[in-house]
Amino acid sequence: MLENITQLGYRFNTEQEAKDAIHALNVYYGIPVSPDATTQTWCNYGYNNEYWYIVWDESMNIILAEPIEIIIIINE
Amino acid sequence: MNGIPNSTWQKNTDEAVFNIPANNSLICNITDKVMFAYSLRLVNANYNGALIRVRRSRDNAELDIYADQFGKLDIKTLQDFCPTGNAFVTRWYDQSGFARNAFQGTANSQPIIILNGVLYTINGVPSLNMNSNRFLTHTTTAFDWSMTMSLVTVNYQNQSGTKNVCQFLTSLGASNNLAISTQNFISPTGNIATTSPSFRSRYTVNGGATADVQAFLLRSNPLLYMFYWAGSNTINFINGLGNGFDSGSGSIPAFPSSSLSISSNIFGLGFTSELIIFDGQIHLQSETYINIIKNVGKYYSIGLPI
Repeated sequence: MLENITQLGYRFNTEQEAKDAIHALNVYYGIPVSPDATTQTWCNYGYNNEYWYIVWDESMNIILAEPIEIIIIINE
Repeated sequence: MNGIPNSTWQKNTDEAVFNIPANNSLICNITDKVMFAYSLRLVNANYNGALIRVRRSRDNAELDIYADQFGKLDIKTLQDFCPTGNAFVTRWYDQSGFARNAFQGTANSQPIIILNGVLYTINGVPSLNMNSNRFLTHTTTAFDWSMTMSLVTVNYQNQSGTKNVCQFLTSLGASNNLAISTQNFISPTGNIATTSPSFRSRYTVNGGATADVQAFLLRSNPLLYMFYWAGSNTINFINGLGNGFDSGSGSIPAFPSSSLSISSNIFGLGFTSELIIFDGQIHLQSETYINIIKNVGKYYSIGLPI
């Protein structure tokens, strides 16, 4: 069952913009610390059939500024 | 928040149970049927690897954490590595011998084990916070849901609403593919929990609303679940008690029979200290069943009738 929910996050018009945002977060936080580290990315992005998005958490504010309300699709 | 309020839990004062048990009393040595063994303690006398790998928030460095001489998670090493800030679990190593490790490579999805320098615990035993979309996955494809399997998990829920005690998701979505189909089970407090019709690994209590569930969860202390499912469209058992129903009728869909083939979260929400999955049925009152119940119940201070 797919369900739409509203959350704070960041909206992107293209997939590349979402990837670039995550890259900026990874650079800022130094992820990954080494090639063999388990942690390879700070967060992931999604697509809700209209736009790409990243779900907000407070660690992102310093790079991505203030979040907005976005619609995300979860697979319940 | 610094973890589960200790007042919620009944502290075990029998320090002897925290000593490492004889090799043949560890769960993986009680039976050779273990398929997955995730725990924050040693559960296999033949396993020499780390229990978990953690990432600290200060600099994102990662470190494997082993068991100490008593078979418990080496908390000293963990806290020396992360005396302040947060520590997240990036890997939960499988002690079964099959190396079916669970992992999470995305930082903001990793379970928390230390928050603001404080270790999460259940009854003084370390626990992982898997709330807020934090989870671990694995990519094992070597088993089929038509198999009969049993599991035991030590899990604490502190959120309202229906809960997952354990979940195996596939690409078709949880409502169609949750493999654990508990019909009902009796908690240590005597409450009857039943599964939500459309979410088969979730449960509600006494058919009640969210408030009832929450009350149940708050007063339940750590819950020990041991149940199994037997093939597709067959009978499901909790703690060895058969509660047969036709999972192919009504609102409860049939079990999937295809192999688990994608990265999947196999842990429920809430706080989890242990999840062990067995090949086959563990029969009620069998020696294996009793030994496992004793082992887990004593270690986590969980009372269950045998």
